[in-house]
Amino acid sequence: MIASVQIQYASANAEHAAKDTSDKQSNETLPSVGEVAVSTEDYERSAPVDWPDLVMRIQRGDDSGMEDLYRLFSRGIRFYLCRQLGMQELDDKVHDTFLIVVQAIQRGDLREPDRLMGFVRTVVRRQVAAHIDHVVHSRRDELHLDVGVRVADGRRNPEQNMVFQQKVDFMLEILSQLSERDREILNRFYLREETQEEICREMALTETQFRLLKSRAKARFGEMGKRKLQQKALVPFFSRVSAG
Amino acid sequence: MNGGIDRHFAEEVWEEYAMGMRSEEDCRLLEEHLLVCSGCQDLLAEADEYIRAAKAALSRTPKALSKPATAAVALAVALQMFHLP
Repeated sequence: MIASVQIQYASANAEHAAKDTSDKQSNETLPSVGEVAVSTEDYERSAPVDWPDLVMRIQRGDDSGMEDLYRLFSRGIRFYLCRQLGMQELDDKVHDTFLIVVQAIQRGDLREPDRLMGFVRTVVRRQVAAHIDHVVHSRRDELHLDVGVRVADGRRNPEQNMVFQQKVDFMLEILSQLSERDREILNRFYLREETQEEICREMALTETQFRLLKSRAKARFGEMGKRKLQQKALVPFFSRVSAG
Repeated sequence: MNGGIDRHFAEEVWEEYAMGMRSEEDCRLLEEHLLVCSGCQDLLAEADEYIRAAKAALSRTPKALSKPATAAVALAVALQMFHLP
């Protein structure tokens, strides 16, 4: 598994560099989870981070250390917490996480400064686990029932629901154009969550055939989304022309 | 492999991560990178949304039911048709 990550790692870097550049030019196209507010400051960062220096500055209580820590991790922590737990009290959770990280660093709990990313991840995961535990217990106390709990708030506003419905319609259109066998492959992967290995074995597919089908469907989905955006952009133009 | 800032992961890796198909060790590397990489956060957000749309659309197609579920539905229909208990 690690080997396959490594292979895909390298090829992704070139594409990603181009994506970063185009994203810098157009902040409004940045996708987000729910309504998470994002900053693009970290796009500006290009120099490698000197982790021991950063940790030392935080330990000293140097403001620049705190600022750099926030600049590096704020969007990521926010993203991770929002994805796992939803938007509710997100600012407070992000703040609490930073506080825990800074206090732990100042206490000397981080013994290897180069492992700062792993350390922050551990703190964030513990925050998520603690929150889930709290929600489960409080609901159990309220209901006196041991029921499944959805922790992340999946509710969306009407506009978001409409956009999502549009995406489902795109997907339905794509599916209608596929052969029954290809639909079965996507069905097995996305709906029944069978692994690539299982699907390839049972349907006599090569890994390449499987990947190609998936990536074509996704590319088509992306094209349809772009076309819809372009149509939207043209609506005001046509309405001006017809009014004039 | 080091989970660095300057290296990135492919779309399909994030898709598999979103679907819980990556090992614990992979998840560690991916999540560490995710904390400091806005580009990969965007890829994961896109993957989440795509998977949601795919699941919703696929669940509306006739092939959505798993094999045992299809058999159960067929049996229920047959029982109804022949007024069997």
